[in-house]
Amino acid sequence: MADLSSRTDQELFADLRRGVEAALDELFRRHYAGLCQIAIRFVGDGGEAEDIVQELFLSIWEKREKLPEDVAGVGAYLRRATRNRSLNFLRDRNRIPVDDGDPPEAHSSLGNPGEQIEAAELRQRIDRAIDRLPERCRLIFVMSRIEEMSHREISEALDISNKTVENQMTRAYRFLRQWLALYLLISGIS
Amino acid sequence: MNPISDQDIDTLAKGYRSDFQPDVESGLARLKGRTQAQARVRSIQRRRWLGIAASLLVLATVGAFGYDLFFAGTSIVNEGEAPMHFELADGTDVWLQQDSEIRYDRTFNDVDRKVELNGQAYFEVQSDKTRPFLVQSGNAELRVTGTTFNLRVERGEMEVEVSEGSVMLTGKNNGVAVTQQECGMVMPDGAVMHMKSPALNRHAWRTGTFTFDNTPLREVLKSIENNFRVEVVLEGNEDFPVKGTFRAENAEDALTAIAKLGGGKLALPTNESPAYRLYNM
Repeated sequence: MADLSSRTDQELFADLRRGVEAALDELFRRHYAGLCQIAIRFVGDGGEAEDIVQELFLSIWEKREKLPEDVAGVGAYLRRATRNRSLNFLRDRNRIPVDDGDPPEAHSSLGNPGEQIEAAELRQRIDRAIDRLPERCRLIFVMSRIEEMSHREISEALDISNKTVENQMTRAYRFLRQWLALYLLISGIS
Repeated sequence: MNPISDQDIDTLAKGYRSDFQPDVESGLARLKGRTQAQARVRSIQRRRWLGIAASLLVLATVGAFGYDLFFAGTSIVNEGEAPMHFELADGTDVWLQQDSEIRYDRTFNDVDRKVELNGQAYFEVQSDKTRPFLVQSGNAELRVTGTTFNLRVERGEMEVEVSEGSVMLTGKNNGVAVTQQECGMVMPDGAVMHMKSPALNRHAWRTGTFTFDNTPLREVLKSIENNFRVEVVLEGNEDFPVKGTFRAENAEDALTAIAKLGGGKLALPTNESPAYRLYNM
């Protein structure tokens, strides 16, 4: 069997359109983990994230003959599809919040004073801080800062005004900044 | 105290949920279960003995390799990023390491169960006293009726570490019974070695756990080399005993822990020098 590992995503995508199943496998191996990480940022649950990405790959296989011929960036195409599917998933389950919820307490996410701080630890803690944002605020922050969607894209996807996106971003930063400042202070590293 | 900028937050947030690592191979197996249900029924029936797992595997038949001209059977190569799990026709479970190959011909499971291994795998052999499970390579032969063990075959040596039951390992002139928590090895010249291995460190590539009990550094590095089938170079003459249990999913994790322990540094392999390098220890 030909070695597919040296083929580019574009070449694999072309193979896939012609029905080469091994091309699907190779694209899956290359992108599955990364796409699941995108989906989990939206839906929060690992099993649901995997379901979403599974459906995506099943759908591109079943509709392979109708895939766009000219995909400049296969990775970008898959990421966009994952984001859209994640948002649809939330929408279908009425899990896109319409109001802002209560602002979280910054100090509730702090560790013990004097705890040794490490980069990995800090990373893990900011993950938890992001998870503490009110859900709508969290989604908007994730879409903007991590998934790099424009404010216009976000406002369209969530059916809210540009102004709301901006307000929620300000709110997210304020909370994360506060939280981080307190955390660094307590850990005594700045 | 420095003010924290939005950029600081952006940088930290970039890795949000990237700790989530789904099992890609089992994800692929699940997908294939669904695509093949529609598209490749015939092919599955023809290779029924491999079951759904067949879809996972790269099946190379006659002609894929030069020396395959006289080989009619199945070769399974794990070209993925993670150990691959599948079941053989006799019900034996195999976890094949990355870059490893297992092959057997069409007579597999007729009168016996002969396989060849190049690389490393963990076997849970289906018990069947009438049809021995055999692995042959150069001067070495492993004979099993039903047991679980880790097996590494490379560069002319065969090394088995048994986690349950016992196996018969034969070299050029003699053989030994290797039982659980023991390890046996046939060297390239056919000589047989036999030793205790209570920690089952040779299973670590799959279990992710190494346990050392005042083990000399060089032996620890050998263990990491064999587990992940990489090359490790230790610069200098440093040696110290290593004690404790380590979690490591790959060579880099394991060696990073060792470098930290020795107060040294780790250099990753490059195209020019394919070995991991420990220095300043």
